Amino acid sequence: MLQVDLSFDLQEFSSGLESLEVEATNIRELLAQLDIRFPGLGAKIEKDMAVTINGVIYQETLIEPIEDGSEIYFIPKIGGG
Amino acid sequence: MSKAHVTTTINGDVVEYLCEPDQSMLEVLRDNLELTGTKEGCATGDCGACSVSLDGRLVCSCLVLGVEAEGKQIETIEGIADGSELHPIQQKFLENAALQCGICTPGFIVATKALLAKNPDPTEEEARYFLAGNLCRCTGYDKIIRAVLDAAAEMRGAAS
Amino acid sequence: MSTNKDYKWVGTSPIRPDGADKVTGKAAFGADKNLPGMLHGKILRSPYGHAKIKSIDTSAAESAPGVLAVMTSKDLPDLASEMGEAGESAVDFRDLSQNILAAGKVLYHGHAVAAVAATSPKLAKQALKLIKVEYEELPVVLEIEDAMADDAPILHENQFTPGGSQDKPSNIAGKMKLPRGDIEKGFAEADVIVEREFTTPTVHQGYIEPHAVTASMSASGHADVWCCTQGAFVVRAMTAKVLNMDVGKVKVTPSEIGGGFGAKTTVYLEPIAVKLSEMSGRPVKMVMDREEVLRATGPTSASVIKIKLGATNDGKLVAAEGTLKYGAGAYKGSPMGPGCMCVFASYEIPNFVVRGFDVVLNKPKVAAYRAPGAPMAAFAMESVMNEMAGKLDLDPIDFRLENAVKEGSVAAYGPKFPAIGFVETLKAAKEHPHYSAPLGKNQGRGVGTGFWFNIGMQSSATLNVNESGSVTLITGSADIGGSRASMALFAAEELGIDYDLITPLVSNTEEAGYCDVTGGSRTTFATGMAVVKASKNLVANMKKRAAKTWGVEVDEVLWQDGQAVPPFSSGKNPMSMAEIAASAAKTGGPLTASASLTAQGAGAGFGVHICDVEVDPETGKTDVIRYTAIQDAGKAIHPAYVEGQYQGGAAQGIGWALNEEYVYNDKGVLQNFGFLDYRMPVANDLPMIDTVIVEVPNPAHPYGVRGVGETPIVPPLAAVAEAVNNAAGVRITDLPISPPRLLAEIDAK
Repeated sequence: MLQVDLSFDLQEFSSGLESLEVEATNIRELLAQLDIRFPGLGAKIEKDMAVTINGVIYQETLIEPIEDGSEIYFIPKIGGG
Repeated sequence: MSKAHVTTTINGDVVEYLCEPDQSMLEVLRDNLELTGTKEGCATGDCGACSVSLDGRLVCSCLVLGVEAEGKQIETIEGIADGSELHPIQQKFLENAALQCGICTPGFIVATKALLAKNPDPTEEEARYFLAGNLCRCTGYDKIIRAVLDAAAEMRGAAS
Repeated sequence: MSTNKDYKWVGTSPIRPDGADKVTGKAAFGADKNLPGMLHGKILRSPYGHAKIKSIDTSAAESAPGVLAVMTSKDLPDLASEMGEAGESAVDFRDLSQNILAAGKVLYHGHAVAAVAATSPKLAKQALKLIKVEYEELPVVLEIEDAMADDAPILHENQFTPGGSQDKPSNIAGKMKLPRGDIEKGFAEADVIVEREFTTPTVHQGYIEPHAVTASMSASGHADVWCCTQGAFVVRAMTAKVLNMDVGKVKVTPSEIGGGFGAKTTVYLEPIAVKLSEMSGRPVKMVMDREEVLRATGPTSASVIKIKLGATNDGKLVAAEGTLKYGAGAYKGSPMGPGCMCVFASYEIPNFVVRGFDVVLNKPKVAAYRAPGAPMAAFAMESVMNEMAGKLDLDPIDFRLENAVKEGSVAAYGPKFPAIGFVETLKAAKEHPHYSAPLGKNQGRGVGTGFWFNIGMQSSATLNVNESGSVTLITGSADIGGSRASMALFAAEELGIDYDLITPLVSNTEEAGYCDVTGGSRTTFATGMAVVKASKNLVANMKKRAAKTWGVEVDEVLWQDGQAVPPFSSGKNPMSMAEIAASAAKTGGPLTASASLTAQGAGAGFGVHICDVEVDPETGKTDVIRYTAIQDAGKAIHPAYVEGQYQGGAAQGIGWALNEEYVYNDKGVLQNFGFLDYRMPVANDLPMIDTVIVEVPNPAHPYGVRGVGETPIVPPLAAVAEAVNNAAGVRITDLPISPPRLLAEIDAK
């Protein structure tokens, strides 16, 4: 089970729910599960957000494995100069 | 407007060219003669990327007309090294990592040569003031100034 | 600091492979590319800050001497508003296209309206004067808070604030909110509260090399583009999109690049040059002049930032509130998002809320600039931290140490930090002799800290082994500050051969594997990771070749110091890389290896700067007299170039703090459009800039690398301002701290 916390801007999809538990073993599964629960949320994250797994930022990847018990948070994608 | 015929010496070579009367020396070097080592950063004399030596005087080639070179001696970045042997200023810029992107480097090297010809033993402050007409946006000047002082020491050593 | 002595090459500072060409004038930059039969393109730019384009008549220009092509936005495909990935951050392709050539409206003074290709630059410029554009002038809006007002002139009739009215268009293009805990409760617990509003001006990246491109369109529909860019692949993607071409039909060859700092991660000229080449059937070269660069490229956002901070008497932060309003220029997309995520990222604060606003204005569309969005946020937050330390009578570094994030802290932007080096960096600053050196009359000292995420993204690397055992190393990552040297150091270390045996190349989009832009401090981290992976693949292959030669099992073969070492029992002698390369034909053919990856786990970078200034109370002029930049690099691959990043970022930040600003008149016309008046630091404005490289390895990188290029521009704004505060007895909240502004502050005391 993964501990997923949603930022304020994403809670618009979850009717204000701040955190939830999701069963998934990689980012693709995680986003699919979120999209089933809150339609549009997974797609929004895939398009605009980076995924953090236990604090490490993952951008542009769906295949990253996620260990059971990991803490998940989503942040806007980051560019740079 | 008819073109002007100019005979001059560039990096020791006698060179003849035709140029428009309103063409800058920088444009002549880069566009007519394909000496593209001299760079344009502003074309208003504010950045020093186009520094060349004209009869031993450091100038911004963007502020000199091509026709003004008649009968003069010009030295550009392409004339600093002795064949394939780098000049000590060039070598010290490399050893001190005094360039990042490298666009200002030709101008700095030409300006440094002019500084050291006038003042072989500049203080840090003298080097900074002399080179204040050459802009660098990458390095914060620290390593450039170190390279200049290092080259000065090396050239004094070689001269004595 | 800590340096792993096990490495032979990594951590040394050899001369860069491209160095000799750069000190002799041989290196070819953007404007140095010429082709036979080439035309010269020039751009007609808006004389108004905001106006409707009623008509454009190009007929006289088209028949002018030497003119072969004239174009306007009508010659570009009409793109739908679509956010897409191109390079390092999302971009709306319609905005991109309309910024390249205005459609319907001009949104800033200098906005491109039409373009001409002629046989000489002079004829092209003369033809521009023959283009008749009829404008209807509109009111301009230049200040962020004016643009947010209800009655503000509207830039885009089809832009509505998300979550706001969908009937009334607005200049507020985006909003963000990051809350945590309960700020009312938090501020109730505070013994001391500091609340201030700060402003920072529009500033330009200030690269010395203007944008330049040469493009040639073949009759078969293939475009060849040479240009100075931080990312050839992003130029390819954007050019193809704007011209509605397949990316496979666009080849981009990057020249050497004369600085970018983020602003050369987008396109201004390239699609125009390709189109003009298509229309004329000739190659077209376009080079901006300095005035065009300042009027119509870059810059970064102006900002208005309000910070309210609460702390207890023993120095614990309990609550914070931040409102960040960033000007995006003519189209949405300021770095407000990263600004919001950075503003409180360095500290543990139990209760906070951050609100961000992305606001369009009649100024050029902003481009990325080194740690986009972070320096202004840090100026505000770090200034308040310094003021708070004073009110609590705490040493400013001790106060920060009390609240600093460390491994396991939950970052203000959400996730938990893995191993980071903020505490180590603060301690190194405190121990530095600069921090306790005595000060003279009219002198003051300030500290500021900075944070940047750093990024990974996609990179590729290929190694081709020559028959002598030397190696050609190919990537598609632009070398903007010596990265060829770092790439060669990684390969030398992994392969166990001399650095000089490796020739690193930056290749074009048809010959190199895909690489995202050089930006976000990712090249040494991510492209370096691809080089390490390709090198490991190559070593595995060479071990196989040696095993075949010896008739032993591959897992019995070791790789040491550039040699394959056989099992002792075999009785064979080790084979050098040169020997393996020489016999490659007999063991399976040429030796090559590639690796491509999406790099994950870019480690956050923290910096602490210490600045001493001397203020002349008669003139208000500030001189920086001593400066030290301390930063965690994770692992410095080429320490001299790491130092160079710290020094260069510090210098840009000092310029931002003291001198640099865009000055507009009330019609939206930029007044300081040259280097004389857009005053960047020159050599005699600065002292030597001391550096300390802290190394807290990034666990996600094989050598522990964190990006280093962005963070150094984050701390200086507050460090300089605090030094001025302490030298002159003032409290600076508005940048730049130019002499007249500081004199007014001193006189108002």
